[in-house]
Amino acid sequence: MDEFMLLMKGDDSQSASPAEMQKRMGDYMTWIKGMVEKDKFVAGQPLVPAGKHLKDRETVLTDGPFLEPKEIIGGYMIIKAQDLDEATAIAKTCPLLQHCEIFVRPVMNVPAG
Amino acid sequence: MCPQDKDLHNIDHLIDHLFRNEYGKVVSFLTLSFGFHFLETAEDIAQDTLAEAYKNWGYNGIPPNPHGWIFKVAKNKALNYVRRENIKQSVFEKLDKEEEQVQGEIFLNREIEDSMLRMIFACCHPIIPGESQIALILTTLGGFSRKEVAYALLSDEEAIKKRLYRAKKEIRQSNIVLAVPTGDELSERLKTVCISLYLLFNEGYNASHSDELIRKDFCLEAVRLTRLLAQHFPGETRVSALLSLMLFHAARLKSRIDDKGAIVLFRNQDRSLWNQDLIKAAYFYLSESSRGSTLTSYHLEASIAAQHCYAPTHEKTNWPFIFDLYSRLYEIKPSPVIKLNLAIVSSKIKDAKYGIEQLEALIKSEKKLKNYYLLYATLGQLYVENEERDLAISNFERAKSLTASEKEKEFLQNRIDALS
Repeated sequence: MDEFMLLMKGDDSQSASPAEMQKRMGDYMTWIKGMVEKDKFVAGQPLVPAGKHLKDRETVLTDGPFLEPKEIIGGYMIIKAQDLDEATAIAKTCPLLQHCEIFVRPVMNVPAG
Repeated sequence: MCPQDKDLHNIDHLIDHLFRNEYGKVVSFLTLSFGFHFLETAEDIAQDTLAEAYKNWGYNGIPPNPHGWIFKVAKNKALNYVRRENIKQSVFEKLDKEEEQVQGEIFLNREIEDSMLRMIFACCHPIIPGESQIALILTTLGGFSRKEVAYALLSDEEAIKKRLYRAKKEIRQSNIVLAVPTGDELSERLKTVCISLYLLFNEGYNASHSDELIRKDFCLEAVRLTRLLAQHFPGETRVSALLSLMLFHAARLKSRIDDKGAIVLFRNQDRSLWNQDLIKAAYFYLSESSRGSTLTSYHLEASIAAQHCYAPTHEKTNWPFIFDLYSRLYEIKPSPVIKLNLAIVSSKIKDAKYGIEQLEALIKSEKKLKNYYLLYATLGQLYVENEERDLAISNFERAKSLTASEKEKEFLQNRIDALS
């Protein structure tokens, strides 16, 4: 079983109504619960919509809440899957996909020792 | 039957809607701390806070005390705003002091409830037009978005936005004090508040809208706010009567729509679906409401609803008693719709033929009922019972052309199809 990182791009929760947010959260929690039960979920964190973008040591490209909501990486998650196909299939079932895009990236397996 | 704490707890569970409720609490609390000019900022902060909660909880799970979490984040955001905007020191200190008191949860809850009460009275101030009052309650206290309010009130977002803008301007210009009235003024102001909450409940209860979910939310929001009032003013029997009336109707919400989302006629409703917890709570508030000497239309409407909820079957309903209650209701609130109800009930006591005569007479005498679809739908039903098929069909057709609701149209068409 390999690990995959899901990067969530885009975040429109700022404009969602409280009722909508509650519904979304309910859907998402149900999904996560299923993932944990199937032992597919490893970790995940939301990201604050602010930060810096370093080009090199001299150039700090942007500052503060820097991008359009659609461009923001809103959070990440690490899941377990057999291969990229399965990881993609799992990402397709994520309810967040209705409101953001998801990048699926395999975490590189570094041989121990 | 005596009031059981358990019964009342069950309704808490039913009317709880975490995100929307917290929105209303945060807005009320911050607006009270800073004054009415802060209302829009308070709304922004509440929205921001909930967005943060949504994101954070999604990854980390719901914290053990979500309410405390939300208030802490909202307060920090408010403090940051105050620092950034250099709002005068006294307000800042006040909020900072309250920050320390967050530890005392009970104190905070009381403060929040108090600020919500003040908001209800401000939103229902007589200088604000009725329709704006409802929109204002729904957005500031109920946490409904303008889009949701527009959708549910069959209006457009722009119109709701204007309505809210004007209402808020009115509140600012007239210097409405955010306070709970006392003494004689309290009873007087409670009248307006009750009318608004009654209308809000009806908005959700009536079939003008096809989206079942949002309608249910409106009803429950009305229940929640009325309950808050009832808890704070136990002596005001008008409020307990209103709450009782809402709870009796809310108990039947589920049985009104079948599995396929179609309307179920009252007489065909599955009575086992009626929510007994809500009926018990309704009964409790009905008995509370009989403590005083005041008799309001809410008392009578609640009593009528109670009769329906306690009847074992549609046939075994105590129609003569209901007729009597409607007659008294008509004395307090002489409306043609109550006349219509009197005619319907009299047809249950006598027969369909008698009902038909009554209704046909109403069409001639009451101009306001002439285009009321329910009159023709009822008449159609009575003609069915009297085995006059053609007249039944033509009345159902008439009713269908008069209702705006798709669900009602569908329901009436089914009745017509069944007869053809």
